[in-house]
Amino acid sequence: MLFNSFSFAVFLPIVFFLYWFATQNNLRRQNLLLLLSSYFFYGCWDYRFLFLLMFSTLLDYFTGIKMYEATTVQKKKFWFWLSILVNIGFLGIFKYYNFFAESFAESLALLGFKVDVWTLKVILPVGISFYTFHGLSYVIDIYKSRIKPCINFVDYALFVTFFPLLVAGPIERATHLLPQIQKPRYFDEAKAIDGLRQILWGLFKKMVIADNCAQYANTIFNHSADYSGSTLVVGTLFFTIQIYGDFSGYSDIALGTARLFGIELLQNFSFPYFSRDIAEFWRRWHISLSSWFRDYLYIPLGGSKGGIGMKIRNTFIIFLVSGFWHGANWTFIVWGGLNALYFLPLLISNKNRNHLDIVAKGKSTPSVKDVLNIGLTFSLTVFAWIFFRAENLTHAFSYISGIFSYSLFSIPQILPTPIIALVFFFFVVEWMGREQSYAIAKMGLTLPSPVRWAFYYSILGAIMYFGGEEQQFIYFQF
Amino acid sequence: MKKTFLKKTFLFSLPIVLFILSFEALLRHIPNDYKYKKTFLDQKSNTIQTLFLGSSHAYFGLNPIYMHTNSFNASYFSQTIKYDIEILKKYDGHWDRLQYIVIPISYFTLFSNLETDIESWRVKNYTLYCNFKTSCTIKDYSEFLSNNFKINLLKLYSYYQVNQNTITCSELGFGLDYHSKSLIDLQKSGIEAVKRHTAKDFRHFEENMNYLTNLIQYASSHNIKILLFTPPAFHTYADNLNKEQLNKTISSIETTVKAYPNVYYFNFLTNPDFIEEDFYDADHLDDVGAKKLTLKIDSIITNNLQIK
Repeated sequence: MLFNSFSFAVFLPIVFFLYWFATQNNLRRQNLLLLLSSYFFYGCWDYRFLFLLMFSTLLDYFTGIKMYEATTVQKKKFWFWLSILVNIGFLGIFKYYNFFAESFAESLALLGFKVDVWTLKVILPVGISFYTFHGLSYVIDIYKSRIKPCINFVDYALFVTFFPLLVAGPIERATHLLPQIQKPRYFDEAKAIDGLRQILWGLFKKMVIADNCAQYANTIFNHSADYSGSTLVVGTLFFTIQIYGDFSGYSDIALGTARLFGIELLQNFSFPYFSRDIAEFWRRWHISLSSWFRDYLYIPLGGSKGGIGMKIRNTFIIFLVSGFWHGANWTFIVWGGLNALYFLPLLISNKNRNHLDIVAKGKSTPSVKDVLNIGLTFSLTVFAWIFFRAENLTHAFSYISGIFSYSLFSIPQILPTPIIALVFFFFVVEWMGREQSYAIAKMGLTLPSPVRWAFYYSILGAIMYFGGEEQQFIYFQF
Repeated sequence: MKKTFLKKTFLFSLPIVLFILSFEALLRHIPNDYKYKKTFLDQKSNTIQTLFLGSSHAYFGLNPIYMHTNSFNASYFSQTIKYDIEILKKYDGHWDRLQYIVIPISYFTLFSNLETDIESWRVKNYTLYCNFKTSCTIKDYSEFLSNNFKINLLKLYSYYQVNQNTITCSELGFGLDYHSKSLIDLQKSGIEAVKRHTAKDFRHFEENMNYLTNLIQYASSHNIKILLFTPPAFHTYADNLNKEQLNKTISSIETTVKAYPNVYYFNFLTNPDFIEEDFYDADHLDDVGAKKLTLKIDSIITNNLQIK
């Protein structure tokens, strides 16, 4: 069930109504309802993988309790590693096994040995990277004695499977979400309206901006050899906007939906394309994943406390692993590596925390220096996205060599004016709302209702007019 | 507080719901080929002697006016065997004079599934206008939900503003849009059509064979003969077909013909009588080619299916 589907438009009001009107504000009933709804939501994709999800949930639930009850360090370690290995094992089998097997065969082929490797013909369970990371953070936090295990199974299962975040995040932490699940929740009209507003903006980002940009990005990337350098640049720009609209749109819908049930999820995006350097970009892009890697990988590795050598090593590890998390393809690893290269100079020169606030805070326009910095950061990001979008490394390099040709200075073969105008409008709204948690969070709140409603109806109209077929979210494949 | 929220949400949603309902009603009011064919069959199914079913290969390939028997073309774009059976069963008890059913077995026929293919938006035409209950998906019961808003808007404009004729078939159900002297590139369209028609896997094969068997058994129990044929195609299409898919199609049909005495099969795929001028695109005949093919089918029928 996609967030941008009619089925979801029916499913959500039913769950909402039952949640607030049929449970009589009884927390246990509310949580049970949300859990069952989440299983139904997930089962709509492929009910067979529900068993994998339930197994993963049960495993972490029991290992969490066992670790807490362990009387010796050895026993605690045993349960900890059992959970880690099984979780990573599932992820490895479903997501990475074929990649390693094929890479192994290709390496041997380079040495002159021909090996036929056995590969799996299974589809990737949707959301596996996300719910595995939920479980891992829970188990690690218990192991590190940061939290106590959750005794109520329904509460824990809901933490892992809560439907707004189940398939593509945000990657939640037990310390943030579990207390909200365990605490009574009461209806708050302002929050519910805010949730609906964020859902509306998320749908606009996905269906109007991302899906329309996707048409051109796909055409250009899929037939890159047929296009001029300037057109290839246009293709990359469209993909850059597509992936932002797609993923941040998804996150907005997830956050808005959760808010309808009185639950606040972690913010996942904070206007990343207005960043003034790569470090700021990574504080604003897929925040829940970046912070997950920071807390559970970078800091345990020593973070940036050691010498330059350790800083470089840790930075490369976190970016390469982050790239690999996205998918079993060398393109994602190169994308991660490239971002590490962008990031390192800032880290080494201690300039990685220069821009903690949003650009031009309290002002309507940025300074020239900010514009130049934003432009440079955006260009570096756009270049890195080529690797992210390309089918393989050969495709990525041929795409880049296509860009850097004489035809770079020709008029692009594809330049759809209406879509460019839409994207321009979108960025204007994003700029105006950049100090909020999402662009239209506070927009026009002081205006009379009819004006505000007219604005919301216009967004709905745009969604209907420009939105085409239901398109899968990009991050569902991860 | 909850009630205020519900009230506000209701008030906000009301204009949207009303808009969608009016839009839906206006779209459903537009005459279309499905409605036309249903009305024809409602009134005259008991007079039909030869019934053409199947996909666009029959819709644009078989023109009933060239038949000596009372014929009607009930085929349509992307119509699968599943829907052919639905048509037959809907008028069960009314086929008083039906003697022959003619169905194309194209390269893709045994491997396609309307519900999951790119043309899945057509399912709503069967549920809304033919009253078939073949889908459990909500969008298949709505014009508004099954098509892009822009396309729907254009449909409304064409019918209500420009008064465009929305019926594209002849009185006897033959597709009128594919005229001779088409400007479509036969080289390019052949390769593109093969790509479109080559199955990624054969997962729908068993299901389609079962539908075909059901259809044959239905015909057999009603003393109706079935004439299966593989339609002619331009060489840019025929030469590029996936051999495995094609051979599986032909061998399965030949086995079926041997198993059922009321079934006959004719393969026109590379028939040399069909020349460039007969094609609208690489896998569809134009009106000239349709005449040629219909006369061949008619001759087979009038000769009492002698070329078995």
